[in-house]
Amino acid sequence: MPLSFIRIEFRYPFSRQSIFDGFSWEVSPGKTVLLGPNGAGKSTLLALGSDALRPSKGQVCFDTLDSRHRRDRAAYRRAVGWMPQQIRAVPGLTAHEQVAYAAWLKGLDTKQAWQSAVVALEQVALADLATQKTTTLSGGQLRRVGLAQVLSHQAQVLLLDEPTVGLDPAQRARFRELLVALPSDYTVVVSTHQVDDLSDLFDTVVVLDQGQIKFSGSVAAFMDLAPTSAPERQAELAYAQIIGGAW
Amino acid sequence: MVILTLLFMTDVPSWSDPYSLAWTSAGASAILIIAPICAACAAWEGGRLRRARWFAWPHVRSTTIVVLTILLPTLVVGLLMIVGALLFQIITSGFVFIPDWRVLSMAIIVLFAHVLLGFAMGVRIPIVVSLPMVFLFSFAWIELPNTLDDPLWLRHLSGIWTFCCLVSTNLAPQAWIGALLVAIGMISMASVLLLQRLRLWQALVSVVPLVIGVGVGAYMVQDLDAFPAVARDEGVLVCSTSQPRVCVWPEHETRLEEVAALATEASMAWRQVGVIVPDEFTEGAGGDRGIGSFGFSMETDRYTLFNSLSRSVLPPVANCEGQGSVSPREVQTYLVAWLNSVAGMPAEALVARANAQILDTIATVQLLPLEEQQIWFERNLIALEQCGVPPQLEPLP
Repeated sequence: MPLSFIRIEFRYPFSRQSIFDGFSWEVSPGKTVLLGPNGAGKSTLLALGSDALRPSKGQVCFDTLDSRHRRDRAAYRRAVGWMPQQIRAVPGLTAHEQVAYAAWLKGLDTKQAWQSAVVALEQVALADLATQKTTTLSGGQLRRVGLAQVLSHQAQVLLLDEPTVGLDPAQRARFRELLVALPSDYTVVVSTHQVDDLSDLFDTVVVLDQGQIKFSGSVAAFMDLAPTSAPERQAELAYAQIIGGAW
Repeated sequence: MVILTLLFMTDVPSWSDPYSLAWTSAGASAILIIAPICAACAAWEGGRLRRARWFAWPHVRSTTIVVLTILLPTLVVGLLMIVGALLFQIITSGFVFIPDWRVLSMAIIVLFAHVLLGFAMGVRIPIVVSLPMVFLFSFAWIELPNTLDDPLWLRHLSGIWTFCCLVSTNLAPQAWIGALLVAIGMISMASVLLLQRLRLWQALVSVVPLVIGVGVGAYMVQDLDAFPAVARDEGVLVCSTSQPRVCVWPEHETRLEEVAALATEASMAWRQVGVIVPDEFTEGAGGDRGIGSFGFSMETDRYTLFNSLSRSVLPPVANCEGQGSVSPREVQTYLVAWLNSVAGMPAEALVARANAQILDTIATVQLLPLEEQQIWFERNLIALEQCGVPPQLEPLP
């Protein structure tokens, strides 16, 4: 079931410049990596996909669910999980409580939310910190709490904005394992600046720049854009080829 | 909050009559303490979500459910405090009463309105500003109008009516509706501020419902004085079968027999000296010469009751300020003292209610033949009712 952005227009209040102007994109099931320079609109696009932001024109749909329609909104939001770039601690809540609360907000009943929070914290290797207040967690730990929040409500679409920023190599490896383990019928979009290991993790690469898709294709097609002289920097060079070295 | 509320409750007015409305009003006035504290707690809760930027989270549950769930502990504590304040009143009053639903419902609505607006402020304004602002606004809105001499009616809009009401009065409907409109204005303002995607113009117009609520509410209560009270429905009066008939408020029913006996005894004595006695004594408004209007409380002693009955036999006193040397009010004290004496009030009770000069005059009058006492009474009765008619308080030699 695809996630579709159909001719969307969006600009932030008090800003003259549109981020998206008639932007369309259909995200197929599978794992997609979203690349792009700073200010390309990656975070905004994921926020629009999650319904945290709403386009001034156009539609954002998942399968038959249209996020604009009141009757579809709850089901849409339940189906789409979003991990924003900045994960903030809710003062006074433990990691377990914060994840369970996120799940409850996404419509799970209290008991389900409580149980799924335990599982989600185990998935992100935070079970041992479950009873710790989130305000005391490190940046990397907090990102894992954010990831657990997304995983806790069994969404079919995962929109992850820079999920590995602040994670140490071991945690990053753990995240990769987690991503690989996700069922193939899930729609996962990961916005990142990390271009290593693309081939292992993702089915599709999308490069966004100035609110437009500059490249969309398989990892192999993306890699083919790079000069063959430096295979260890292939992804990096392919990206530079598209953006014009502007990152 | 418990300690502050307890301290506050020791200072609320206590009433001698077992009038549910009065005791509920005094108890519910603890909202003065409860609402600002609960509103500040709600602002704190709102501030937590604001800091975590969770209010904009694309949640599935409705905003109403999310907000009410967050505020539930605060509201429950606030409600328990109101219940506690009323229980305190029940213990203090010494009688079990069912709280007046109008006062109780308004206390709950006021609590909810203050808490919701406090939460909305916490969500929208940084906590260092919102928390003290909410506390001060909530406290000032309830307490400040009470300190103003003008306009007196402004105090009724807060929904806290500490001194409502005497047993002969009832809560004015316009005060209840006016306070309700203000609370609805506050709730509406909070609801706009809690829109997930709040735009600047929406934030600016959010104050409009509150302004309308205060405006319409003020228009409704502007005719009230310092008390949000109207005369009580006389249909609830409980009457004796004796002659003369005596009607009292239901809260005084336990003393009806005693008052009726006293009225019968006094009436017989008054008739013997030619005084026209009303066929009915009532705690209601009375109004014409055929019905005497009197009042008492449960703590009123027999002779004060006697005095009140004597006063009710007399017509309303004319307002003759600045006219003549003897005011009708002074004439009234002579006539009441004479009526008390005629009805058999003992000397020590008379002394407590009239000065020596009056008592001397009354003693002289009572030495006169009945016919002359009657003339003295009738003559001074006219002076009581009409300005320009000089009284003849000292009997002619």
